[in-house]
Amino acid sequence: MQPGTGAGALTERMPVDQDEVGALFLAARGGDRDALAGLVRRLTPMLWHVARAQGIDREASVDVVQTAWLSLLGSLTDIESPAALAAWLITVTKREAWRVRKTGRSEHIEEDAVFVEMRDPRPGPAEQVVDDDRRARLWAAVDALPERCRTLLRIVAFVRRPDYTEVSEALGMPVGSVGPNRMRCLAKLRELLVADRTGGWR
Amino acid sequence: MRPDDRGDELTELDAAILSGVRHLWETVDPMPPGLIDQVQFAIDLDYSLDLEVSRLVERHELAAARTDELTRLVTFESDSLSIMITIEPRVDGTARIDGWLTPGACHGIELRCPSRPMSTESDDAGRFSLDAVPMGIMQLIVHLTGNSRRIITPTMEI
Repeated sequence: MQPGTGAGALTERMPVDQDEVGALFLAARGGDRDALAGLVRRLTPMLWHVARAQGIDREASVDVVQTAWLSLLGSLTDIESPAALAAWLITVTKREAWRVRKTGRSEHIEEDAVFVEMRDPRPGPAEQVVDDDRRARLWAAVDALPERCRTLLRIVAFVRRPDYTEVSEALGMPVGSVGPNRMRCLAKLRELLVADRTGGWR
Repeated sequence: MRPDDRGDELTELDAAILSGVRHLWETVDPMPPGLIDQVQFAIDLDYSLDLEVSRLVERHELAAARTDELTRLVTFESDSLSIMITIEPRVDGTARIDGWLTPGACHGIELRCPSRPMSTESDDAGRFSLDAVPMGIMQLIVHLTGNSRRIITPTMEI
């Protein structure tokens, strides 16, 4: 995998660097515990949102994310590439979350209430108001997306330069479509934000 | 090379938007602060062993027997067996755990917690108990008799 050149620097605030994950994955597969711990630190936030996006409550999500990592212990040597690792973990997390839903340990996430709250920032110092305003506008735009796009971007936002084929399968989308899909969803969001000239997203 | 030339790579605006999306979800639905440590503790095992994951399938709170604290009933299930435990808080800040393995058989029971590991054995009916279990996170490991397989549970807070 090539280190990012041009766009790499621009996306360095993104938390999961596939090159770094790749190196950690190879070391962890060889039995390096620190490397495995590094993978846990980098990939757990994404898995949290995979679990929560399936509509299960926070307590169950903690169990599900742990179960996915525990399951990985016995399967590390079967996984062939770092991209396959992310896909494997996403798949197992989703499967475990579905299992929880089937047994009724789920909650109805009141997303709407959350969105409304975020759109109505409290007054604060001037800079805070600008930040809050920008955030509220972003949230309103995210809210306006179709649910499928909202969920996709929620997870992709925690991954940097994913292998689209592998991750797309894990997300239950046609092979090879997450790239264009992500771009389509991202383009929709960008349009919504850029159309809103007062929000500072230009 | 401009970012736009890289096909599926992100533009600066896209990266900023995705970064904003990430911060929003981190704010709205934050990952529990202890989750990473909990996972690290749970998987700090010898993974060359034959491990079978037992998933948490049920969690109930029962009316208190001897203290004001609620007794909890938790059930884990895996391919080989199910583990049902009750966790009863004690006034001294520890807890008593009574467990029942199904199918019932004598196996080694290990309780991992950060302060001190504990162990016992189940009887022929699969029953076991552990007293004075420290509060905090813990994980159960069942060492199957006559088998190298270990059944591991996720960690849970007691």
